[in-house]
Amino acid sequence: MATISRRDFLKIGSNFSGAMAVSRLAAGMSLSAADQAASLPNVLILVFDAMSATNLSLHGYRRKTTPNLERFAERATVFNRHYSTGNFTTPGTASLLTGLYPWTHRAINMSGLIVRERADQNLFRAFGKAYHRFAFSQNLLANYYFDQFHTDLDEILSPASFSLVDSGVSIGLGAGWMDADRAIGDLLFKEGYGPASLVFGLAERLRHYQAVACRDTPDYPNSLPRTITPVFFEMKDVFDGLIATAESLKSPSVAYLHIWPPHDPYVPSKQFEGLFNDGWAPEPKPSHRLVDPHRHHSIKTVNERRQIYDEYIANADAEFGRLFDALDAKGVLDSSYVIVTSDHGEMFERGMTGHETPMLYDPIVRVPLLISAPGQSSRREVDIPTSSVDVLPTLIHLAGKAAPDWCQGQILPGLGGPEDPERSLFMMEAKTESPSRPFAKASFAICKDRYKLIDYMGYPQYRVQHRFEMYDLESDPEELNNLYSETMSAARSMREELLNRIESADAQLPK
Amino acid sequence: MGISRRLPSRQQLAQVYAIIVLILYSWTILWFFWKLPTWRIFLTAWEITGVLAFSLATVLVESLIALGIPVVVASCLPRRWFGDVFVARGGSLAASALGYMMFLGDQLKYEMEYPKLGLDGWLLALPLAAVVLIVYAAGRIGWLRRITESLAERATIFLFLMPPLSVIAIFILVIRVLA
Repeated sequence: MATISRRDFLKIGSNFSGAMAVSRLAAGMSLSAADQAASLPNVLILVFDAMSATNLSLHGYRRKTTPNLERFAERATVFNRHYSTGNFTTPGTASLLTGLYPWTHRAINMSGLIVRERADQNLFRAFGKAYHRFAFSQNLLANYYFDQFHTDLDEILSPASFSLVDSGVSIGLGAGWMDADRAIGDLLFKEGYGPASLVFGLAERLRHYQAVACRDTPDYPNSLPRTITPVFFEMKDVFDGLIATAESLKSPSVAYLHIWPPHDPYVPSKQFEGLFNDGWAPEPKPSHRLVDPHRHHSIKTVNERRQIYDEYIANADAEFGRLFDALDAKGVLDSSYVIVTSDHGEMFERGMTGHETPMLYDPIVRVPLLISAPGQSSRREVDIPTSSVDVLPTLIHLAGKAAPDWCQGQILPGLGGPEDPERSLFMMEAKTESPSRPFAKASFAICKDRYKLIDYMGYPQYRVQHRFEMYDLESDPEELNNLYSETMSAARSMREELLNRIESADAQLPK
Repeated sequence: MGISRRLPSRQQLAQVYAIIVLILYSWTILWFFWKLPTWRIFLTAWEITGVLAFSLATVLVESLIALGIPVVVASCLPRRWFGDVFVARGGSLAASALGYMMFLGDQLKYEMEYPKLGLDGWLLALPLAAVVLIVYAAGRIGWLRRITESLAERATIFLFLMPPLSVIAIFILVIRVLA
């Protein structure tokens, strides 16, 4: 019987695309199921929450925020115009995990879930049982999806893993207890206004208070990094946990690792505080009409926030450097696909900071995507626009399987997919909308080649039902010069395509 | 005097428990209905039932714990200080302590502020002193005592409604686990 060792496989994988190698192996050699499983590469997906590509020196940002990502890029395919489908965690992560646009998976508002009939269409099921399927997210919103996918996951870590203050809520409940988790976690204990459980909820808050306020943390003299739920952590602990996790994964595994930094609140460690106190500020942009007047920030505040965000990115990057070195030293990079990306970006311009906005400018939707193949030793660049819906079909393709037919993305160029600059990509924001009703007030964007068209639909700030903005991202990457005109043929065709897609999405609402 | 002589009668216990049940169940149910419209969008009726069942089961345990506080106080203090006016003092203790817990929970709702928040002075000592004062006054001032006892008596109707609901909730949870 012909057999192939792991080393042989990796040699092949470094010369050809992984997918081609695996599919040829699967077709041409009579390996036992166990041998085949052992020869499959691991897949590690590392998601930084709220990491905007526009603030990374990897993509030309002025401040040196990501020297370690740049080192990693030297052995990866770098997608320079990669877009999330949404501007906050819920839609962006759901698209990453399903390969579907938000108007299809319908996880569009805070704490939203993937519509039930689509929950089986997920990354973990697509990889199949041959893989050990592992998920960890510090962001609770992503954990809701893990619960939806729990029959397709072999291991789910609590969002409080590797943290200083463990909420302890999810522990022991296991998968499939989302309602219990929400009842006990959100409603009874952690609800921001309650807690509904007066006795246990208060005890939980006092426990957190004692654990947080009384903790001596030399690296964080002012306040600890925290997630939106009351989980406090030190970044080095989280990355120590990730290193241990990555090194101990069964082979083959697909591991989804979603960490909170550099999401707000930005809390760089002492070492990174003031790192970018360089007096630099980008050219200010005019305020946007859709910025909430109560949350409008001065240019000074916007720049201060941007600086701290950049420092938090640099802090996260330094920790990533440790992870990268550890994986390299242990040979994990030689046997794994490593994907680094984000679920959405962050914005420091036009009078606002953060990502609680209907806007869809590049800083808030353009995110990093780097994919390192087993044993890859050189950098490759892809400059045409790509989308987070493309990640799932690409990874499935790299695993030697056919991309699922329900995917709305396509295999990424450079990894087996076509280079199609004329392809249309979509982004949207509809936080205030019901997932079961047609869209009434939402933002949509279509990106095609060098152009991006944004549609602000149903906002009372505008007197029209659809307010369009169009930018030439090549000549105007800062998106300052609105080119939209009814007479512009590119604008007309993109508008028609976008409106047709919205109409079609509304027509296919789940019953 | 033995501890058993200091303990309240069943009727006194029921009346104080009724005040606790009224407060705790109202609080939990209020927050449940506050969240319900959101859950309707993405949870099934069975899942929402599960949430409610967990909430009602939890609040039953909480109410029993809360009842334990006046009982422990009664068993520690001389009968004429607490046990003789158990409904008034126990009821006012439960009500004021739970009210204080609502206030403290509200103060602790923003975890971001924990490192800067000092749990002393007006957040701990003063409210606790106020609770002691209210409990003292409820047993000492006639009209306040009558109001508390009257409220406790009327609240006993909730004992026939709320705890049985929790028992049904526990039954639902058992079905969930077995299913």
